Parts: sequence; C-alpha cells; structure tokens
Amino acid sequence: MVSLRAAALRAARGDGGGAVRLPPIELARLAGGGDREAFEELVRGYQRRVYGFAYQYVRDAGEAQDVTQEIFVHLYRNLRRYDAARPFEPWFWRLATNVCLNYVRRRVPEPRELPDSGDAGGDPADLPGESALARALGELDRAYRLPLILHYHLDMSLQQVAQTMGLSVAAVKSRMHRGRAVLRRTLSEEAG
Amino acid sequence: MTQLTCGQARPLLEPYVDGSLDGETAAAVRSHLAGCADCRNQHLEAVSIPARLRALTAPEPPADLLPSVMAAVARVRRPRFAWGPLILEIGLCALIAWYLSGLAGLSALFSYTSGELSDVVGWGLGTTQLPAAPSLDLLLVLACLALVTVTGYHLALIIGATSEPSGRRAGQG
Repeated sequence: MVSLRAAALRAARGDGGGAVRLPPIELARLAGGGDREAFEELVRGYQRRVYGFAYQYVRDAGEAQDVTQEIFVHLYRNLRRYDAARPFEPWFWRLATNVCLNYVRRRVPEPRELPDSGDAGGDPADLPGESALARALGELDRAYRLPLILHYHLDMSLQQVAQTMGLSVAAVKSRMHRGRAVLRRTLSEEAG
Repeated sequence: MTQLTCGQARPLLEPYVDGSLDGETAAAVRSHLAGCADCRNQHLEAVSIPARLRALTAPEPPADLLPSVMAAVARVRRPRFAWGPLILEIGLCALIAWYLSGLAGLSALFSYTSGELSDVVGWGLGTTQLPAAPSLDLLLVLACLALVTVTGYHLALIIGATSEPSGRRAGQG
C-alpha cells in the first residue's frame, strides 16, 4: 500500500526525477512521521553542508564522515520532537553543533610524535596542502571557532548563529571578533 | 580625539573592520593607523580574514555517505516504538487491580503478603512454622506472568532505543 506521505512526496517531485521540490521544513515534518523517503531527501539536500561543517570542525575526512553520519542519525531520532511551527534550520544546526561538540569531546587525542623521533610526521594538524588559515582555524578555541564556521562557511546570518548557539547577537559578534583577532595574530606570527 | 597605543588599537581592529565601533572610537583607530605601519599591516590582515574564511573549502562528501547514513538509520529503533507495550501493561495492571476488587482487594493482598513475610521471618528465627503454600489462582498467576513478560520486552525495547549507535561508518564493521 502506498502511504499518503510517499504519494505527496512523489507528487511534489513531479515526474519522479531527483530534484527536491519540498522545502526542508516539509521534508522534516514527513520524515518525523516516519517517512524514510522524505528523510533520505533531507539527507541528500543537507549532506554537502553538513559534511563541510564537520570537516571544518574536525579537519579529517574520515572523522568528518563519522560526524556527519552521527548528526543524521541524531536528526532521525529527534525529528519527532521538532516543532514544524518553528524554523527548521536553527533547530537542525543546533542539533548538528551539539553532536559535533560531543564527538570532539569523546575523541581520544592522537599521540604526537616527539620532535627528535626522526619521523617526518610531526603535528597531525599539519595536513599537506592545508592553508595556514585552515590550520589556525583548527587550533582555535571552539568557543570562537564555531561561530566563525557557522557564519563564514555555512553563510548563516549573525541572528541564525545566535539562535543556533543559544547566545545573543552581541555575544556572537564579540566571539567572532576575538576569534578573528586570534587568527590574525597567529597568521602574523607565522608570517613574521 | 583620544590617542590610542598599539595595545589599545589592535583589539579594536576587528570591530573597526566590521563597522561596529562608535564614531569617536573609529576615528581614534583611523588616526592611529595613519601613523603606525605595524598596525596598518595588522589591519590589512584583519580586512582579509573574513574573505579568506569564506573561501575555505571542504572536500566533497564521499559517494557512500548517503547509503551509509540510511543503513545506520535503518538500525535505529525510534523511541516511539517503545511506547506501544505501555498500553498492554496498563491494561494488565487494570485487570489485576479489578480482579483484586479494587482498594479492598489490594489492602487484603498487602496484609496477606506482610503476614506471610512475617511468618517466613519467624520461621527463620525458629518461632513459627513455615507458612503453607497458597492455593494458586490461575487467572491471577497468568495475568502476572503476562505483565512480567511484557515489561521485560518493554525494557529491552527502551534499552535498544536509548543505546547509542556505532559512530563508525557502515561497512567498517
């Protein structure tokens, strides 16, 4: 038997092509009701941004995939609690942020090579081809790193960043200024 | 106009770049920059950082990300399924309570149980005889057994629904 939700989803897609016509909030509502197809569309629509966000945060492709998967599993579990009367994006990114922070908190730090070990590996943060800015961002305190990633990488407005982080806009601005100042100092020291 | 030192001007560079400073402070920063080459360099760096942050790229998500997410989700039991047995449990409790004739029945059950327990304690102390085994009430026993079974199943569901899924990607064992 074809569910009404699945039929609505197919109708919204038109000729059955891959383009998603339903807005995320509607997909979230359908997925919250148990529609797996709607959830898959939601993942398809967000996977690039979520993976990019996770990558900027953990700076490791394999771990970014783990974090991304964990974010979507948490989303699936919590969709029933989502109030469709409220905007989806801040709710979703708050969830994604919390999952990411918890992941990093649980992570066992990688052992670092001693400088005289003769190994060329050195600091695992020094990924080949990575820019000095990306490296400095990865080493930034997470209280400053998160608003910078949300605003500059995910193109969120300051208001959205504030909603996502549960802070005032003024507090977000202050953190971003401090974070950028730390990046500026780090880059200047490296250049000098 | 206030004359700023380098130490005072540098923390103001980011809000200055964003245009968040009031007119007087912004003018003081501008004046300091005009006469300080080091701070001008810092200012240039501060101006460039937002654009460079926007330009940071991330690799494309791996092709198996969507299938691995859907496979992980397929293993997740959503908490809503854990609520189903509650209806059966409430029904069985209601049946048992009704069968025990409401409050009077429950009170009788309590006094009977406490009497039996004190007899067992007395038997342990050597002051009384071991109480005789009670006659079995088949319906009550069956209802209690059913309640225990459903509750056990329910607990298993709750444990399954609340335990964390593996954080590793599907296909990595």
